[in-house]
Amino acid sequence: MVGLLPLLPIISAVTVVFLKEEKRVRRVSNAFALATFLLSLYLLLTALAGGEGVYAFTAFLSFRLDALSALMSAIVSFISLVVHFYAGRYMQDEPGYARFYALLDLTVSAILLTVTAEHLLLLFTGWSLTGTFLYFLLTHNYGRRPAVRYGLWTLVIQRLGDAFLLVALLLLAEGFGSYELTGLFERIEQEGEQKRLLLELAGTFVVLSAFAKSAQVPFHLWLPYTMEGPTPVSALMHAGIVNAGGFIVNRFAPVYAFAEVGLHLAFLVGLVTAVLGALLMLVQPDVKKALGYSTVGQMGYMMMEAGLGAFALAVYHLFAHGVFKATLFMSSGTVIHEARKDPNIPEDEIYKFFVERELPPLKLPWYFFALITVLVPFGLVVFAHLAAGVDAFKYQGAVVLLFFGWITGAQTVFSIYRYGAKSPVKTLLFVLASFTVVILGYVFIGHSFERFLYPDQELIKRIYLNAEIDPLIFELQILLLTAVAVAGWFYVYYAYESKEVIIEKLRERYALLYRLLARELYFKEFYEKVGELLTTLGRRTDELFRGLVR
Amino acid sequence: MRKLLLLFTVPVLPFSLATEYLYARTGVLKDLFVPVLGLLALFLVSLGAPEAGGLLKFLAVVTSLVYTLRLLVVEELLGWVFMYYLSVAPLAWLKPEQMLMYLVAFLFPLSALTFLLLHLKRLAGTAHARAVSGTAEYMPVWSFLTFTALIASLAVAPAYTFFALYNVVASYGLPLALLILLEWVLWNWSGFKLFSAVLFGRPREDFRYEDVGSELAFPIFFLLLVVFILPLF
Repeated sequence: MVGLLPLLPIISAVTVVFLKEEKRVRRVSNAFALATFLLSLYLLLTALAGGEGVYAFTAFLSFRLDALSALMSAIVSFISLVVHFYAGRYMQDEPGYARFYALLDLTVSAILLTVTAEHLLLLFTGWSLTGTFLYFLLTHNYGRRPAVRYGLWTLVIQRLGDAFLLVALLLLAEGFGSYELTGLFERIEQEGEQKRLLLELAGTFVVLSAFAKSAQVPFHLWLPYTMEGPTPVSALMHAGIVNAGGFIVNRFAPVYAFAEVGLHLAFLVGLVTAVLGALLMLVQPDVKKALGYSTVGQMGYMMMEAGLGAFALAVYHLFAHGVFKATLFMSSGTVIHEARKDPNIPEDEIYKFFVERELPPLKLPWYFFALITVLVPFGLVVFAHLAAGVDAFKYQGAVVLLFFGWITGAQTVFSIYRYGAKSPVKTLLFVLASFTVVILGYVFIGHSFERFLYPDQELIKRIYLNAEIDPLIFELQILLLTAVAVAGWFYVYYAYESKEVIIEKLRERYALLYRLLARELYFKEFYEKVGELLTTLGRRTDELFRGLVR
Repeated sequence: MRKLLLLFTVPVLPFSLATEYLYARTGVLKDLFVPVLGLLALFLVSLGAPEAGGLLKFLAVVTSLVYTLRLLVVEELLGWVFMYYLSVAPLAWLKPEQMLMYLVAFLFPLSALTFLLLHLKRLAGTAHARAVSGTAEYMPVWSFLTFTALIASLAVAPAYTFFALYNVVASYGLPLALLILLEWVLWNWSGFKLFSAVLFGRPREDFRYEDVGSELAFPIFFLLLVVFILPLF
């Protein structure tokens, strides 16, 4: 049954290319997307009931049904279903309607193949094909030069990720003598301790491949630059394809019971990506590109969670982010459409703050907000962990997540203090209520995901321990981050007191930072330089050898 | 003698320079050079698997790397097929006992690509990448088959070429595997970059687009189907 999951979209793709009427194309493809979703739900229920197993047609064509594959299939087919229904109207009257649906189905099929594969090379096939089909989807509007150009960038980055994954699979398969995940994991459990170096290498390469797929720095540029593709493709890409990085780290979770370098690398790169993604998002004048960078930041956060050992939380994050981001992308068209109708920008408090640099009047004393900002999120985060029965201080990873939850929450509440509001108490209550729901959901659902995906608590405990670093460095890190956050708050207070948004002394540095961010930290130029260098090297070699043949 | 001939047909440096010299001077036969060269290599290998020492294997890797770099600046499509053959074929020497299957795997899609490009050359008078663009709109069958043949040639899974290359990569340690996979990324880059320029972009108004007929499309389609279906079993 699980083998049917990737097969259904293939049948759909082959069928729709022979249909002439747009309506029939849409109906057939939607029907198959719905059938795929229903089947994935059935498989999820089967997995929840403990009906896990391996189903092999041939040695290569073998599929596995486990908690991770069932859950990921359900997420992917749900997002695919939403995108299918949305694309029906959006792509109407666009050229290549049937081709679009066929490619969409093939891409979904490749993702489902990746998540359900039992054979390592079948998994790689799905992984690699996802990148290939994505290239064709992104170049759907092939008359537009940027679509083709950045589609090619995407393909090259995806191929680089493929190469990393292939190295990891090669190391694992040759090192442990099994191309099936089940056999591989059993042998890792038995021989892992003796083959730690091999597992460290494999774990690092798995994480590197996840970086390319999940747009982590420095492989991130393909994601915000591929907005020339149709909006449904952006939705699928940002809500589905980029999540593959989180999936692959989870798929090879047993490797990280014996490997720590990959985890530390994931944390470090994830952290840098989360910060850069958020900063770069702020300076984008284009709605879709800003959303692109927002995804980069979120993927950084997800990778950071994986690096801390919170693998199941990363899966929950990718699911939650997928749903939110797909909604945002599919609404972006309406926002742009509305903005075009009315050229005037509503002059509300945010506009005044950013454009006219005018600070809103405060109706309550600042220390009231300051206390709420610091204490309420902290209390909520700790309470949520205690209520869910999670020992928040047992592992470093959990402490870091708690810390981030607190800082993020404080920042959210803080922004209300910064902007002011017509009725600050009411706004504050709304923010606190939604924040409570999010934190409780995050902790409770994250915890439930962990119990479902990793019933073997010993494995997850070992991963958490491997993710830990020297306690002194860890404490210094936390202190440094706290100092940065607190310094930021003091800065805002000082700026408020001196009635300036950007204080005089920092104006030049701020301008420099803004310029750097506006140029996206010159990553695009760096990519182009690498391309130019390779081409120059190719040209020189060609000239040399042509001279020899003449 | 057989091994010497093989060094020209599955070329490694410096023998590849002679192969290049011959390619540049074969006139009309130049367009069919890769299928002919490949068939000759297959015939020679079918007589018995050759042996390869350390030096030959080292030269094979160097040759592959040199031609991969040169591949990045090729702009003529049939020339790209030839240069690509020179990049990918030498790696067969790394596992000479499986040379036959390796060559068969790559020869199938590369021959398909050659015949498809000959169709384009017949229409445009040249197979230069800048001569034609936007074929995807007016020659959908040709474009579909060309890209499928390209993907198969570039060893993208699940094409049989991927498994052939994987067998070679799997036989050696991490550094060589990384080097070959880096080459693989560069092959993909050059192939997609060059062919995208032809398939995509604005169609030319002064060009008479004519899609391939069923007499060419069907054999190539089934050939490529075999290349993709074979690994599943």
